[in-house]
Amino acid sequence: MTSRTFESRVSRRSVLEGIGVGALGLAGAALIGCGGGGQAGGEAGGSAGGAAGGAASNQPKGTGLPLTAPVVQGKEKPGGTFTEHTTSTYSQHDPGTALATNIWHVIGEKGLEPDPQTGAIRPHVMTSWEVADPSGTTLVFKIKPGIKTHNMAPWNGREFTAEDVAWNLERIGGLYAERLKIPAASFQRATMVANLTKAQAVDPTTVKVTLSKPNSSFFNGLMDTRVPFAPKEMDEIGWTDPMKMGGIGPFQISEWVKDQKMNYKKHAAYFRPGEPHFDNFNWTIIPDRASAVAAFISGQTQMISSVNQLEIDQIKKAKQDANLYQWVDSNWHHFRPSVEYAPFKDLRVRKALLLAIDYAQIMDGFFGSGWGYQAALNPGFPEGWKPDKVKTLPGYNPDTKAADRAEAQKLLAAAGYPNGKGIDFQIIFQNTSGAAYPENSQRFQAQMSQVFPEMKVSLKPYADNASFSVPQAKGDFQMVSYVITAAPDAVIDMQSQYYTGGSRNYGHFSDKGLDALIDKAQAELKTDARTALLEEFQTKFVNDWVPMYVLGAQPARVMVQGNVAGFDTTAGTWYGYSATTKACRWFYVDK
Amino acid sequence: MLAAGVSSAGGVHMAKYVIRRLIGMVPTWLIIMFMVVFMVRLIPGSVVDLLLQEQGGGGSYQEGIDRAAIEKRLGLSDPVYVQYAKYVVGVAQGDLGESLWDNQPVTTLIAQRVPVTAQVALVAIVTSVAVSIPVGVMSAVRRDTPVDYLLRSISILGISVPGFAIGTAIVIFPTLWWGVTVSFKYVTFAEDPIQHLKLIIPPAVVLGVQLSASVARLTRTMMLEVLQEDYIRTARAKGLRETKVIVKHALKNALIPVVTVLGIQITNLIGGSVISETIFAIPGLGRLMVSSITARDYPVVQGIVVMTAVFVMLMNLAVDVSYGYLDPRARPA
Repeated sequence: MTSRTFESRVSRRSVLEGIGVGALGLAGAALIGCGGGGQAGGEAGGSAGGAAGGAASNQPKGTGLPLTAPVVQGKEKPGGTFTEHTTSTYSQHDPGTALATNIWHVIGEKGLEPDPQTGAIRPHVMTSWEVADPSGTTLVFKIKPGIKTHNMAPWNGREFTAEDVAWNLERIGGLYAERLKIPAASFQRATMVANLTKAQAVDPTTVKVTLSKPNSSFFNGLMDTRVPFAPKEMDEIGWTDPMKMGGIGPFQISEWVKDQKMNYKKHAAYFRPGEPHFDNFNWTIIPDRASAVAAFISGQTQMISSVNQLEIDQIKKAKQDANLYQWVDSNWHHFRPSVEYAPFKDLRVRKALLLAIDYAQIMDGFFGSGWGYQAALNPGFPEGWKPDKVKTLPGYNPDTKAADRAEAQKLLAAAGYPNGKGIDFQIIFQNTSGAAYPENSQRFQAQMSQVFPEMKVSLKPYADNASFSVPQAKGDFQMVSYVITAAPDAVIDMQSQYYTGGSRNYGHFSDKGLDALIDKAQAELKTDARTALLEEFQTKFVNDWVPMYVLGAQPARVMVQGNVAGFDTTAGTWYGYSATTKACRWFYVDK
Repeated sequence: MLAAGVSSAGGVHMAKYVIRRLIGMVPTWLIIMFMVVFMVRLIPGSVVDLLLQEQGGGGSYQEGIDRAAIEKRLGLSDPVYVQYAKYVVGVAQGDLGESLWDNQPVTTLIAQRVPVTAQVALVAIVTSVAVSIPVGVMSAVRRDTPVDYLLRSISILGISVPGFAIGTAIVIFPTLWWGVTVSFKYVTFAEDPIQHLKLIIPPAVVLGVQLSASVARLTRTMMLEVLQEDYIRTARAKGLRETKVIVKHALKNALIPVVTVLGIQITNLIGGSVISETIFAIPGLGRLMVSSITARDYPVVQGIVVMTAVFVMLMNLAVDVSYGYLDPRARPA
């Protein structure tokens, strides 16, 4: 398995020391081949993803997490159109500043990609990635030669080189903010390339990156779909008209009509041989969920995501050959307390609630089976505690619930809130159709009234994201019910959620020990040492800090038409980071 | 052009009446714009917050960093009454502003969507009139017979079942039973006329069902009333054929209030289009309204509401004017 962090590359550092920078990169690349990982290297640039006899099965794949990924057999039927649905056309087109899914998730490509099941780094646009000096502040990347841009003006299929990559890295990092007159804070994926001070093309296939201080998350950050690469001319072309945008991804834009469709055609010169298989990859806009299900059953779309049990039953009944793919996802549900609310400043109160919550009742209640216990880190992270372990911890363990709740009552009484008396807070959430937050909140409210009869918990639903996001972002709440999509690196995820001033630390939690531990983990380039730090983080999370009540990692459920093969090779916890571009690895079979 | 039987003096009176009504609409229009400008800003959450979220760093709240700049760029930094005054002046000049998200003129966005919604509405009106009036007449003529009971029951059902339920049923049941459903891939009439009609008919049915049901019931009621009139008895006594009595004498008079109600109901179709266009993925005015509200795109929301208000007012005027033509007693003096 390819390591997600630096250690394997650092071990080669002695070979590289003392040599010129350009040579360093080249030497490093030559040494480590396709990223320094046997398995990953073997799969790099190949078309293994398209093989009908792919690796996935109904068995866990090394992560210990449940995975259902049927392998579709059959003779490949080349070409065709693959159609998915979404609820609206994308509104933001600059990948550096966009919050949500955007066109670049299809027409662009990220530097590295995660193994969908283990999260291990796989080579992609970058064929090698290397720490090139002892201080850990110089990184060298080799770019796959011969990558072509889409065949449209002004690029007309020109080669995508190290210059483009360097430009992308600096732009993602917000280094062009002043020149572009965009606030630096707008480059919200800058954390993926934190500490970057310079990126330069040494030659057409080598990029040298300079950091202000070591960043053990840097390589993992480049696996995020939200940091796709674009040709360096894009700032001049502008980020407003999707039809003028061209990238290096497997599909190129062909039609874009607001509220109707986003259609793409095959990029014939895509850099992964044999891919994409489909001639066209279309998105049709269907805002209504029941209509989306009907579109899938009637064969107008080839896949449907986030299906609930009722929908699965309906689809299975009407469309018996459709396949269900299911795994523990990188999305995790939670209740986040605000430490601005006096009782939540007290660790005893926070811990009492952690012990009192019946996590299984809440998650089973909404999702049924298929979710995974989670404490701090998502179980999909290699460093993350797995559900089996979390399930044995105080608070999470269903078998010790009564004793844990008795302990919780003692803690609250010791904090001056016997039976919850004096604690009166409100949970805010987004009350959108199909979302888990309302039900999660109601179940939590019922549980608290049962365990702490004098605690008052009220619910405040917001009609949509626009109205909900304001109080959440301002921290104007006592508790919030929401879901987070994990960043592709554990340190980045913990930093944004819990670090003092972290970009998603809406509850304003602050602890010097936590900050110091995250700083240390970010600077730690040795995998084992970093893992040990994250182990310490997870232990302290549940014992000493309790900044959040993580309910669990939700199950991802996707249904795909029975004549589509290859999906099994892309299923897994980290599927979300490659869903759109990985459509290039699916194909039709004759059945 | 005046209809036959209306004198030139009557025509002048009518013209004056129309002008008076048009002038009378101005204050109503100003009040509507006032309410719209204020009300869309009362919806929790603002476009600035949304833009800040998109541009402000992983969901972090960058208060003060670029809020002022965004507000100024979008013209939201002025007091609301100033925004209102600017808006009124703009509208008077035919300028409904620009979308806050993609900077397209609101008039362009609305103009792109109106034909789609208008086509759906037109099909709904034509089919519902074609169905409901014969049904209402039949029901009245066959009063208290099994046919009447059946038609009345169907009408009540049509009024009672909400549009979203009918729409969902149209989509879901054929899917579950036969694995087929309506197409969700919108094409224009120019691209594929047949496919276009196939797409337009289901939402038109959703809109038309309730319209048909209410018109059918009203037609029945009015027909029953008219059929009791002396002149109908006289017509029958003269030996006229029953068909002629019903169609020429009874129906013509019974339809006068039906036309009025139909005019008012047409305006309701715009509201109904929000649901039907969402269910059937039709890119009309209703969808534009929903997506603009979600995005807090104030100018687009305001533009749609103002245009709708104008349409409703003009429809009311048209109904009043047509009423005068249909019933000489109602003509302006």
